[in-house]
Amino acid sequence: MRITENMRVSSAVATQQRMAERVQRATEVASSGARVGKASDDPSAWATGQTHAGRSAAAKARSKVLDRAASDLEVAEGALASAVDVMARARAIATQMANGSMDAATRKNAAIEVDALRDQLLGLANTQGGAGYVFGGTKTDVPPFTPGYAFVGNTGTRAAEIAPGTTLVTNLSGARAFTTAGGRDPFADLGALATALRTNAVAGITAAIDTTEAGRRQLSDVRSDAGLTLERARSASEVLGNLALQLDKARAGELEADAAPAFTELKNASDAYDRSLTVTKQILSLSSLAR
Amino acid sequence: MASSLTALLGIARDGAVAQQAALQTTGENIANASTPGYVRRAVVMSARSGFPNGPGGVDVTRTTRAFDGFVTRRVLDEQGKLSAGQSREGALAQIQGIVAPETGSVGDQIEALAVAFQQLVGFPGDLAVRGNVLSKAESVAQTFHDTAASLLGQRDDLFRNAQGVASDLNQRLVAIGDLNAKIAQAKDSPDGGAGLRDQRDQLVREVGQRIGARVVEDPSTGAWTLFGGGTVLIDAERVSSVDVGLDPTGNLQIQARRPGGALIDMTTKVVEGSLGGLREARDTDLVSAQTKLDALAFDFASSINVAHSAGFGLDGVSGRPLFATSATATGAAYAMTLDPAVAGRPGRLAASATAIDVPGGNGAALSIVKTFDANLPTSGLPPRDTFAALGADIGTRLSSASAEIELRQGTLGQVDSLRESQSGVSVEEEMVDLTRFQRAFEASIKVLRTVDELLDQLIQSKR
Repeated sequence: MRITENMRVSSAVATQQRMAERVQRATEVASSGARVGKASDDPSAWATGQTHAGRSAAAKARSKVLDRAASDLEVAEGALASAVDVMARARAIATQMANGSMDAATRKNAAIEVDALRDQLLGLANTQGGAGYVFGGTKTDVPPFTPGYAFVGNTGTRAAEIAPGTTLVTNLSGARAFTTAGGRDPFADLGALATALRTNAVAGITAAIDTTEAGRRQLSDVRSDAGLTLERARSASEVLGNLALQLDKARAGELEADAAPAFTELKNASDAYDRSLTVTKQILSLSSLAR
Repeated sequence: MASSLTALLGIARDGAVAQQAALQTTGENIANASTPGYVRRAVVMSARSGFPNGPGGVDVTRTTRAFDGFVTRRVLDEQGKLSAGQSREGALAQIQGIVAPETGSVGDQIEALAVAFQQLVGFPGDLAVRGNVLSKAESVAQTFHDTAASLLGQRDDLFRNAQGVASDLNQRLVAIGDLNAKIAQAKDSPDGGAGLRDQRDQLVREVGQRIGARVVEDPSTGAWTLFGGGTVLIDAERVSSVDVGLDPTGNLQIQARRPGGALIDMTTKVVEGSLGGLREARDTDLVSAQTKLDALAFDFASSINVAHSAGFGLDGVSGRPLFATSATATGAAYAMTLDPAVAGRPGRLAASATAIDVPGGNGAALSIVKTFDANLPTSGLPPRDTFAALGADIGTRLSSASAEIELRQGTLGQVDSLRESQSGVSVEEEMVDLTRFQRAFEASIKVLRTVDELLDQLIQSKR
């Protein structure tokens, strides 16, 4: 084949162009750390990366929701623990005051303490968390119990996703803990105890031993449920956090470049470019007449 | 004796003239070694028969061009395909930048809205969280609109580009028609109009870059009939022009306008050259992206609206959609906005599944969150994956266009090398020829001097 001037120049320019493109690409990869930046770099990997990014973001968001729900459940569980203590103290008072050696004055004083315990229980039933009143069901914007101890919340549930299509109820029923919906009405039982103490009615005081114990158990049961839900929420959040990490890792595997091969390629590309430049200069400074 | 010497004198003179012509052609080759489209020339000499008058001399019978029609047609063919690929690749890169930018894409905004709704699940009554959801929803609608608007703008740009290409093309067609006329006139000149043919070759190649060209030469006149887009664009001196307009559906309409004014529709036949590439990018690739984006916008907005309308705002009212868009998928992305009843009113965002669950109920918010994982009717994929498939589709088209360019560049490089090998100028060869013809010229002069001396001696001996 005859070799002409144009062939030499075209070949040199084309080679130089290819080398420059290789250096450019290697520089982009090495400096950004990304093997796939645009969809056209690797359409399949790009699409997988997009899907992983979406699922990772969703998992992180679900995990956050569960963390916040866990935070409110923790508040509720703490309030219920205190409520259990309140009822335990009320039962202790009832047991102590049921003793025949107690006089009416002592019982009246105890009634004052029981009144205080009832107010304390009211405060606990109206505890607020990050998402409003924790025992109000879905009516979270107003205190679920009035100063007259009436329940004005509802039994609506609030759920959080622990996986696509799978939910976990993350709120508690204040009705079940603090009203007869759970079996006993602790406020009424404490009120009855205080009245019995104030009126020195030993039979009523004796009866309160059982009712306050039942109320304590009722609150304790709801607290156990809260603790269980709290653990499930925490566990699900942790699983989702790990899932997000795995998806991020998988996404990085699809889209990111390994540092060592990227820098090796950059070095090779730069060397090839330099060599090509030298040869191109020789060819362009040609011709054989000039040598 | 004297008459033989006189004949020899004539032979030497013809030799000097022939070598001078050869030197001139060699000089011309060297001067045009890098001229685009230049085809190497060669002087054809032939021995003149001296019969019956003694020995013969040399004649320059013609100057030839080292032109190969077959290779030229191959170059034109590959050039047209390469140009189509390059135009399409450029347009697809723009489309990819619009639909799947590295940040802030429709997919990113959908993802951000999904996260915002997840927050609403956690805090259904929180006005700040509701405000964030509305803000993200507005970003989704705005990004769909902006993306669709940019695609429409890109379609307009590609139309203008195609018109510009047609304008350049028409200038070249007119110039080729003029050259055909000049070549017919110069057909019998010593070089056969070689310079004009070079210019025509180059122009035809430039036409091929724009529309893809095939040529057939009329041996009697040397004129070329040029085909492009499946029709005759130049027949000798009769030149058609190429019009680029839009058909009733908004697609490119490419027509050849005959010298008499008749219009020939060649739209579907224009598959090569930059016009062919622009047409495919504009009316196939870009339209596909628009259709898929519209389907995504329509399906996404509809699925969110169904779930949102079933829920209740903080005011206890139900039945409000979140997004407003077109009644059908066509134009849905461009038309997408926040529904006016909800825009700017976070309290109207539906989170509760029942009025009684307001404000702490999150049943509707959960239903909306589920739509982000549910398959859309058109694509059969969830919204985020549908966007990923759209971006991947454009990426695949772009990378295959790039791969085709690489292939075509390789093939064109080969046939160009073949053309150069046959028609191009090798300076080394020309230098050798230069020396050869110079020595032959010097030798002819030497013969002249020798004959002159012999004649001189003959004249002296007669005295």
